[in-house]
Amino acid sequence: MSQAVAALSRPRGGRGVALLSILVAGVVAFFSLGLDLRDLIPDRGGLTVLGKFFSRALSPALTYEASFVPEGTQPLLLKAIGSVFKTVLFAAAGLGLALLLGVVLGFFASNAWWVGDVSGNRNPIFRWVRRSMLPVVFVSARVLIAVMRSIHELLWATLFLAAFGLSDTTAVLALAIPYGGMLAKVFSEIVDEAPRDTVLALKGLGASPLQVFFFGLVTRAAPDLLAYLFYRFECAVRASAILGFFGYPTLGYYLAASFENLHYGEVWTYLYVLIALVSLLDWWSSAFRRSLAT
Amino acid sequence: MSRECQTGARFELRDLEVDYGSTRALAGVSLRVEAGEQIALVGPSGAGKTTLLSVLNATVRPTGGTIEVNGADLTAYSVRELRRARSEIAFVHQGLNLIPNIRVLHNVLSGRMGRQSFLGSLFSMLFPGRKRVEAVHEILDRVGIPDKLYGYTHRLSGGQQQRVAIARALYQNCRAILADEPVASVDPARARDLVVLLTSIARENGLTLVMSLHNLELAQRYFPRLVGLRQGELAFDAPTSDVSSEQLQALYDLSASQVVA
Amino acid sequence: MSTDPKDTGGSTTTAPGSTRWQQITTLRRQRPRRRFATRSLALLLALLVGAWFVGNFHLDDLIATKRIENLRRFANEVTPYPLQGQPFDLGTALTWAHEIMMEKGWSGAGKTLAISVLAIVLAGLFSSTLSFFGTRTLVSPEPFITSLRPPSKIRAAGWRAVVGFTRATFVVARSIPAYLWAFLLVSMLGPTAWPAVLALALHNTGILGKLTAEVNENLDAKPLAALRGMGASRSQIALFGMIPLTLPRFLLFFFYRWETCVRQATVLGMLGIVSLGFWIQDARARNYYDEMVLLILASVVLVLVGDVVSIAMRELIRRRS
Repeated sequence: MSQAVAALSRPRGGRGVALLSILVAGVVAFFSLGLDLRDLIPDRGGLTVLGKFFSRALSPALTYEASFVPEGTQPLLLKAIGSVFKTVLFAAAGLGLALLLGVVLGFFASNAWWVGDVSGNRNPIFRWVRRSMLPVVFVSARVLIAVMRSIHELLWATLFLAAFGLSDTTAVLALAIPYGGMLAKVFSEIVDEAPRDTVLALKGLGASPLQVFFFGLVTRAAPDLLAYLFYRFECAVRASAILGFFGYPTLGYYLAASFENLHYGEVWTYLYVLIALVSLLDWWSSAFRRSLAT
Repeated sequence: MSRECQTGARFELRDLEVDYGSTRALAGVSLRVEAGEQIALVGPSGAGKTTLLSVLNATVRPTGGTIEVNGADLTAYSVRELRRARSEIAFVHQGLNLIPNIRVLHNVLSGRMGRQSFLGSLFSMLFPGRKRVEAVHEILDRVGIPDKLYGYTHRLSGGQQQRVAIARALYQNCRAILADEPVASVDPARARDLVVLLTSIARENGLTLVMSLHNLELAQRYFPRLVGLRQGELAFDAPTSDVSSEQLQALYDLSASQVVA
Repeated sequence: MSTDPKDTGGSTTTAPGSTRWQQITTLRRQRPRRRFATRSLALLLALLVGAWFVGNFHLDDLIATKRIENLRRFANEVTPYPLQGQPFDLGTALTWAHEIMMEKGWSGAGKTLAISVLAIVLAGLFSSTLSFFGTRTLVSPEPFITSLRPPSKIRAAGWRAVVGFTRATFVVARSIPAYLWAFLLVSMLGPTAWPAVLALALHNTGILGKLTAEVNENLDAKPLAALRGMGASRSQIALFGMIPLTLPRFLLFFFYRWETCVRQATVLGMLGIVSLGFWIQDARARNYYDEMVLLILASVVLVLVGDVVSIAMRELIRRRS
């Protein structure tokens, strides 16, 4: 037993180096940004904001804080619920389109479906297509995915705002493109890493490549794929809330407006609503994962 | 039940050679298997048993020699014809090779995939209909696990899963069953039951059965003909009663194999 | 969620006299079901599809004539300024790109990178420390070994409160997106790089803290119980028992989160912090779309470089451990 303990506490050389270099990188980053620890203490203006903001943490607003509220304005709580609805709506529409993109691109980007059909094919044209065209499709799908997901959703939103102007559809598209890329990447990886034993069996009973791919690999990878989809939904809701900062009618829009009007109680209301929403989705996705694990 | 499986398949191998890159898996194997015959393949691991079975199932293309199934040359087949040929030959694997996270019913239904289009197979999985479900239940009844019809495959024991694999092979409407170490992962008593089950099912339906076995005792007891493979070559091929214990010993004797090498 | 009682794949016996179809229907009625999973999935898919019918989203909207005009104007403005209305010349384009990159691109990219690195290092320090307070198996009256005397209820509740509070902090920290954290912090700290660094650090502390606490809880308890049996304190168990065991997993999470930090750090610049996003926003505000697109492309390259580094590091960790 003491041997096990000794093995535990023995430092590993490689890891020590890794940790040290991470710390050094952090220190280098700190100095290259020209940061000053004194800047962490807010100046007087900042302190006022800080004090006023946190003094409302435990007393979020239940009604509007403005002295004048026009007739017929929706009550604050209804408005908050409405913004939650819009946030979820944008996230769902975005992820819906992303799922479509992800499944199609993920199919082309996975190397499971075109590498090595043992039987080969005698038709030379077919073989030529297989040898030369499919890798091209594969590589271009991978490049497309990389570009789609390396541009942040807010940058896509900026691009679309410039290209199309403000419309709900552009927000959905801004969500759908990077998320489609991420889903495609992860889907193709999950499918490629699924165990191949069933593939062999299905091929042996005469299944076509498409049948093998779908029943042998996708079915097998399905729990992981779906769990990831649920996780992405939670992320999409957060991203959708942030899109409000760019003028779309989601949570971020109302939150920013209240903050700029110094209505900090309202800000806390929206913050709590967002936290509740995200926690609910977090619970949902982990409960889903647990129920599949049995 | 005779509707499902017609007469057994005939195989004829002549000077069969299979290379994996630079390694030779099979070298000059000639073998005739008559319709409805039951053969046990024996030999040490790495002797080429799995490769031989894969060639019979048309999933591995031979590098040399010919293979005929029911008198037709497999090497001349197109992809589509190969699919058809495979769909008539069932393969029971050493590992279970079932789709683990679906119901037993669907795993058995997947046996007919070789004769269906993609959408057709998807449809029959989603909406199997009364006739198909009854057929599957009947087969499961025969392999002894009718109550597992709607069970999740990965929750069954190893022996039960092997029975599902056999049920899938039967539902495949096959003319021959190839089994690669089907009892490697079950305890001795169950292993015997499974071998008895496979041989009796094959006999009842007139199917050809070729099974590779580690367990010599089972091979000698339940199979009328033994084929010994060693380093990719045929060591012997004779009725079980004619195979001497010296021959069997030589098959597994490592020192002798080193001399040959 | 909870497993169905019939979920055992159970051995239901069917009456021998009944017909095959009757047996099948009985089996079907008793089949194990994953109700929660199927219903959740159905609900999620209904949301994803239904949103398109409920919301005001029309993909054909984007090809409406007005939008197409917008797009054409945009496409024209995306052409590098010195090339607009001119025949294409690679040299001119490169000079143009070089000037922008020298003026703001490279420094913006450098700042973005530095923000992401500092933020993830801080998040790593915070989360690794805090994760132990959120580890139920460690933060208990008598961790890993059963004590002879049952602990008092009050003490047990106190330990539970520590875990609960830490976990709640993680939930709040990660529920609020980094962009929102940065938005709130900018107004308090002013436009230095701190709001961006702290925002990313906070959000990722929440994520890494939760993941690490879960890994800590799922560790094999035997060696830790041995340590406890030798009289080690909780902090000693954490330091000499848990850290060596969780470190490889923690580093995998760490680099994975760093990748997303690089993407996020770009965008946080839009709040007035001088990363790439600041210059992207600036170019947009001045309607210099050619410059904006160039800088976005620079951010793509930065993110891809980050990906490659992260993948290499994770591969290294996997092989070492």
